[in-house]
Amino acid sequence: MGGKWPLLSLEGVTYRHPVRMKRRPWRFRPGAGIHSIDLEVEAGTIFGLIGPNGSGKTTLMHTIAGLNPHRSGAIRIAGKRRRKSSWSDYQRRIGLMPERVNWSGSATPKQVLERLVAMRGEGNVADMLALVGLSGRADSQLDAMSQGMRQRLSLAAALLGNPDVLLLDEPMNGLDPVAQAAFRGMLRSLADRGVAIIVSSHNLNEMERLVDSVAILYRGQMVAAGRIDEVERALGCEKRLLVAGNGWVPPSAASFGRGVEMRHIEPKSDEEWRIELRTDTGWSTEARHNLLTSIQSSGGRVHLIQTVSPSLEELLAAATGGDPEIVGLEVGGDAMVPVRTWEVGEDE
Amino acid sequence: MSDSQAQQVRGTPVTRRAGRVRSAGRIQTVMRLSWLEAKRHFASPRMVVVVALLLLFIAGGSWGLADPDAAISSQIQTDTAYEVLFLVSLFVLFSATLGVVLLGFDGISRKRLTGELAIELAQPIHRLDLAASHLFGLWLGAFIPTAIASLGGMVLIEAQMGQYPSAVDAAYFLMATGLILFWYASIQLLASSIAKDVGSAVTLGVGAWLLFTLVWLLITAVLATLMGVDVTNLESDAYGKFSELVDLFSPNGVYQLLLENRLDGDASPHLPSTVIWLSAIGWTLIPAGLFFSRFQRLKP
Repeated sequence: MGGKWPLLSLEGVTYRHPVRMKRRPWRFRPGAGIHSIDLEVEAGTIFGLIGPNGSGKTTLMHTIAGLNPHRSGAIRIAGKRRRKSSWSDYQRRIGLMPERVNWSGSATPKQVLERLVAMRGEGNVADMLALVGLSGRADSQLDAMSQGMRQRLSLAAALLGNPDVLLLDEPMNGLDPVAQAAFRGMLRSLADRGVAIIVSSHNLNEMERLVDSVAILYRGQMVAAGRIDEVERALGCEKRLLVAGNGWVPPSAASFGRGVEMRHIEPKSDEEWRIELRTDTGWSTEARHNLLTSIQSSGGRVHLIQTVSPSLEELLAAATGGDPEIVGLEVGGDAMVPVRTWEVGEDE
Repeated sequence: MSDSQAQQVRGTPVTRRAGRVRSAGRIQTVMRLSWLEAKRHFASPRMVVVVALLLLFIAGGSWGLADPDAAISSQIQTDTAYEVLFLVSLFVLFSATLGVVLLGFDGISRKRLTGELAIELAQPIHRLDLAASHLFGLWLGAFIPTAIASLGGMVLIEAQMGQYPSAVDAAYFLMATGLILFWYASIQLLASSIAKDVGSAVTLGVGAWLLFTLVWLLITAVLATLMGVDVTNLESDAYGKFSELVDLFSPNGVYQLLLENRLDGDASPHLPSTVIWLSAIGWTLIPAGLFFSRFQRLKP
């Protein structure tokens, strides 16, 4: 079989939520949304959408799923554009798991899935319930299910009919750590079978363990996309190294060679020290070994060495030039002001 | 070249046949989804309340009104089984339509709030078919128990009066009852698709029911006063004719007029049957059409 190929592609996709005008309530004006999104997701990959609240993650997912009619641009699955004449084939290839579906009522998971199978005209309820581990609760009432079980049911609903593209909006919400690990494993095995998976989250650490590449959304625009380490490097937010020890205190960054920046962090006790180191070249095993040797030969003892990823707000601040403390809290208004975008590639 | 190959080249007959197959498939899907939706309503705890209302009003009403010893106003005739059924229709207006409200006031809004609607709208099914399945599902959910209660009522009428309504009368009564429940189902789902939270869903759903069931008399009286019709004598011909006209704009009024159409003599309506039936067609098409149109543009 050949290499990976773009299963889902978006070209200049724009959608803005209609907002009722105050003075003329029968008329609408364009509100917040997504603007000019270009994206390619290969078959067999897990792609992450990261952004703060109101950045457009859900709007983008709903637009791909065909729930929002995009005003301009094109969405293609396996090269085929979504058209009125072929919308059914398009929808058949997509599975959507919305954020936190609060399944409720006296119906059972089995009945819910049977109804969706009737809509799709395909799918096996028993297989899906078994896949998400709900076989034992197939006939329980929805009202009696925990949020984790509801998440599993939403996933089963998205997986009905074996779609080629899976859209998962904040799928880890409500799942316990054990279920999260199982969920990650399940997504990876689906990706290995050629499914293109898009996962949204505002948690960068969670994404790092799951996705192959990411796109950062901010105010409805994609500010950077690529592998996480490439994006971090392009934005000047490489992973930092947190080192803690006692004995000899590193006096300055110069102790560790050229190109290293150092920041002292408040230690836990008087004998201890903690430093955070940053370098443009990253922290390879060899670089870490050299660092340890340097500290130990100077009489210091290291008891913690740990890589620290930049936070989402740091990435956003680096991408937009804003203040990290403000950019994380800020929710964009309706106006679609262009923000700076970053080209991320292998040569970065 | 064989005939079928030739047809394929010319295109039209094969395409038409494929179109028919697709349409048949869509109708089957809608029927299946409607039945699943109706089953969901049958299993819901609200159905207990609906069944209690129907038994109390329709079955109880049939038993009481058919009792030869019951003291009913001298102006109300209860000589035949159909005349009793006509009076029972007042209880249908109160109980069965309330049943539709109870089952359907949050039919769309709840799914929108919980996120289920996003999943349904993302499925490869035409939105019109999905909307129709919601509508027919709600209608079936309300009509089947109402029809059973009405048939039970007819048995009770026979027990009291010793006569069943004729098969035609019984079918006509059930048809008219089915129509009014369809109108209410359309109105409820339209209101529910407009509502964005539970509060507004209740307000719009119950509000529509209150308007046609309780407030309509007041509206008729106010309009009559404004139009110079004497409202001091509600039994007058002038007021009767005017209220029939106003009733064309209420589903309850049209239901009553449809049933009155089969009564003899003075009890039959002044309006021609064509007008009443045109109004019934309007009530069948307009709220359902508005709901379908709204559902096509619905955002989760």
